[in-house]
Amino acid sequence: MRGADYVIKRAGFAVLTIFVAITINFFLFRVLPGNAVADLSRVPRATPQLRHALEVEFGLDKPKWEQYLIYLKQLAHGNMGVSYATQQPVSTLLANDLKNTIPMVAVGTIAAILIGVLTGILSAWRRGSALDHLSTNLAIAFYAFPTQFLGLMLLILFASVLPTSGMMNPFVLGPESLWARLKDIGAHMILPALTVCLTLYGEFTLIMRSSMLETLGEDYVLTARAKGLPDRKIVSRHALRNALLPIATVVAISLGWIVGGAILVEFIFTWPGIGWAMWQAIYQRDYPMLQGGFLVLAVSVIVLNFIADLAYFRLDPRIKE
Amino acid sequence: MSLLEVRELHVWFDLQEGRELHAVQGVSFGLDAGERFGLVGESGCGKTTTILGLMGLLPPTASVAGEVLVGGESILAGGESSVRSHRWNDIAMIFQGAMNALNPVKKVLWQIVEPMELHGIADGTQARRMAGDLLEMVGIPASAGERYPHEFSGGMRQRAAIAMALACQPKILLADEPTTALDVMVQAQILELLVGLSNDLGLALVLVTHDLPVVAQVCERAAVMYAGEIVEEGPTEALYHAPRHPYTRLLFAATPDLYGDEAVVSIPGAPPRLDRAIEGCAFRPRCDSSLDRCESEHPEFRAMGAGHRAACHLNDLPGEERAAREGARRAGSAAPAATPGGGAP
Ligand SMILES: Nc1ncnc2c1ncn2[C@@H]1O[C@H](COP(=O)(O)OP(=O)(O)OP(=O)(O)O)[C@@H](O)[C@H]1O
Ligand SMILES: [Mg+2]
Repeated sequence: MRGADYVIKRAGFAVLTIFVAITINFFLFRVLPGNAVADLSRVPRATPQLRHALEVEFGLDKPKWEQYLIYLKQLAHGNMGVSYATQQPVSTLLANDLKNTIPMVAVGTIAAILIGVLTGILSAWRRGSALDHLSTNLAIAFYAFPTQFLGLMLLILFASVLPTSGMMNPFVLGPESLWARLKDIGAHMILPALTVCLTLYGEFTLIMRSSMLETLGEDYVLTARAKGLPDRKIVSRHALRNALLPIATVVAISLGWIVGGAILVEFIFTWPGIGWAMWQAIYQRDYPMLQGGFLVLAVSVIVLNFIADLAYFRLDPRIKE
Repeated sequence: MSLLEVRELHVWFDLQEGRELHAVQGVSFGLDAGERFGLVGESGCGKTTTILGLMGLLPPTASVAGEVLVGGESILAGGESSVRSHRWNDIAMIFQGAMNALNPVKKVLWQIVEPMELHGIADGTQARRMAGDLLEMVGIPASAGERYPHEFSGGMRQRAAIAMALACQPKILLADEPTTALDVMVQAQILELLVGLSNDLGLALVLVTHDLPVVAQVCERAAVMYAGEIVEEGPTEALYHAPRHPYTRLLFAATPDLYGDEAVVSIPGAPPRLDRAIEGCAFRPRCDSSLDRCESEHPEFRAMGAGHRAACHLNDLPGEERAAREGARRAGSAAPAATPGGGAP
């Protein structure tokens, strides 16, 4: 079947891209100046002998290609090294960080998609109305704001009513019900998730609106009207699915941003996720952690893109060609 | 009483800065059951606008005046929600560029079933069976209904669009240039199909085209449009052999005849702009036989004989003077002072 061909081809492409990302990621960190051992703040007053011993311990005396093979082998076993800063396995640390990042970014992104698609449709449907003007101008404004600016504005505006830092209240002592804890996390999540949502939704609205307008001008929409369908059904049955096709692409493209943007948002709101961890890793020159973080980000962009490809495949029967 | 009656249909499009484009200027025509009626004219003369206007399908920038009666009932008077029940039920359409009339993400059969269920003709298995029968009727195997439009060839898509138009057993089918995008062989097949359907089902057909031979071949009656108006209407035979408007005559003369040896003449000039009022006869600047009064007096649409009407001042002249006048301006363009009759060949 041609459909299966498409999925296999896309999956193959994703795997290849991941491999390239791993390779670049490895060599990128090897061309950085200095190495873990050379950092004098970490090993102050080290003798050349000690330094050499450390290099041997970390395998840094071996040729690069051998280091690369060892890296691949370790990675295949899920071993991403040990953090310089905390001496814990990078994979454990990153898994924990991802567990915090994913819900926050997912809530923000899904809200952005829903709001963007909905306001885009309404705008196109009621083109030229006051609602359309309001929605379009708002979208342009939010699209134009840099993430850090938006985040800081929200922080200033809501500092007195919502928690602005961390993921839960650190001062609660003693046992607490699960519900109370979830509520606390939810309250902490509002501002960072809202920042993600607002930065993204503007673009989604604008794309959805123009895609919807274009679709509403298609011959098959005129046919649908001529059939006697009411407006609502014309939009839901005929226009929507066709108009969503470009959105799938835009979402896929912005996924890269979503992951990168998480760094800014988590930094502003001290959200203990992968972005925050990477910022700290940079600060502490924690190379294994940074390398692991880069890898996770790269792989998640590739995987999310693959998912977007599959969504496109579901939406458009012509893809099977 | 005619099956379809269009009375004094006007359409204005709002343009920027408060200007208006009077695209359809008082079009009237009638249609009997099973009749095939042609609507011809140059590009931009308002054929599509007339068709869309009479079904209330124009965009919100258009204002429409006039009356459209189907079986005596005015369909536009009740607004959008009441005209909806007439769409596809009484009047179905095949669009200009119908290649894209099918939704690319829906299966063909589903798209034929949709109006049946909407108008309560049939649903479920019964509707699917009827839709399959319709596909067979237009020459597509019923099983192909499970495919998507992009898997069809152009001709098949047009056939599917016709099957879809027949879903609610309409009495009237409006076909706006149904064959423009198709190659000649497929064109002929589609026209044959339409003629066959109109004969077999007693379907009244309005065929919009700028292809005169097609009209001559398919339609018993036709109307010629120019600058938003019908300038002549009558039996196709009469329009061809005894036109009563210079535009009709020139239009036929501008059509290449495969077997004829006469040279094809084009009509010089272009239609007038419709966003400003036109004084006198709209065709006068391009007319080869105009009179002085054509400049200031708008010609009225008047009966010329049985079912034959035209809007031209020349028709007020006695027969032989009119014949002599024909082409006078073209022949006499080198000598502008030609006296009436002086330009006779
Ligand atoms: N939505 C619109 N807004 C403004 N003007 C329009 C619109 N649609 C059509 N017109 C104008 O109305 C006039 C008639 O157009 P229409 O499409 O009805 O012509 P037509 O006879 O169908 O031509 P064709 O043979 O090219 O299809 C043209 O001058 C066109 O520019
Ligand atoms: Mg047209």
